Amino acid sequence: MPIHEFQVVGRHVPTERDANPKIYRMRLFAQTSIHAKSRFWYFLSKIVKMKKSTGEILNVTEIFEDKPQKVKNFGVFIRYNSRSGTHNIYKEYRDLTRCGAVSQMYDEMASRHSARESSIHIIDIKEIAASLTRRANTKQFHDSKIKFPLTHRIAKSKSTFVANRPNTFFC
Amino acid sequence: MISKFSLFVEIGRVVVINYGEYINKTAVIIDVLDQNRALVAGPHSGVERHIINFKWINLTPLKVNIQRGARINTLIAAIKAADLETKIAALSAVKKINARATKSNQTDFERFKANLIRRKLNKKVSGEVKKLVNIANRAAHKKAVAQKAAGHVKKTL
Repeated sequence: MPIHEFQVVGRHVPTERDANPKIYRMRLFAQTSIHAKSRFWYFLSKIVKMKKSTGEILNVTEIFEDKPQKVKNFGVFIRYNSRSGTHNIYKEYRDLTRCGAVSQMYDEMASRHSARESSIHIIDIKEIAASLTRRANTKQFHDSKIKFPLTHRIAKSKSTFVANRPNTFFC
Repeated sequence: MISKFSLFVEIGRVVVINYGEYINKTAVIIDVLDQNRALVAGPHSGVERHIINFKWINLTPLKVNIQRGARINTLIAAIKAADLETKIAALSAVKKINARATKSNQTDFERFKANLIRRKLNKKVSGEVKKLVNIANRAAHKKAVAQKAAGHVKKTL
């Protein structure tokens, strides 16, 4: 399911003691707005003495990418629970949108570190200028004269059997 | 460096898409995202600007002179300047695609007419082949007869 970015605004329910409680805002990545609300309460309950039953959500808005047709470099700061402990990680991705970068991050964390979405906290995600990127794998794609071949590739076929041996070498 | 490859992923490379929504259309690489994906667009063929996996494309020998991350109007101008649509139509891969599309769009009557034409042509071809075979057979026969006679002469002596 694709990932979306939401802004969730909420506060404690007004009471006699505090008629105008402080309002909190959070930007979250989630599949649906329902999931975003759930994550909002999860994170907020760690920061402020508040929970779903004692608070109220004022607004949930989806945030869309400003320029979704331009390739950008994203730095993602995350904390995740591995099998043995908790780690902070910085990762870099190239993508068109913040949501795309986060999707790449979840895929990579699942495959490289066996970390599921539930054990990952996104601390921050920033768009980074090309000169400020740190990872070699990101830097190598900043060359405007980049040039590399596509070597061995197996083309998909809709048939179970075909009459000709497939061509996997394109030069 | 000597390379056995002549086609490379690079900014401006023209590609044929072989899978998904834009199957059998051509597009231009605008930027390379990472080792698996590229940003492509094809205003000449209706391909929207989007990210595509390298497994879904085939490279072609054609290239457009554009800067990395070129915008749509810049790309359109470059395509026009390079006379790209004419060159794309001349690609063998594109010709094959068009021929296959034409064939699959034929009506029953058109297929019938094509069948008649093919049969007439094959009849002519078979006739010519038969003539050549007969000529070859006659020559072989003469040779065999001559050899037989030579053999007889040897025995007599």
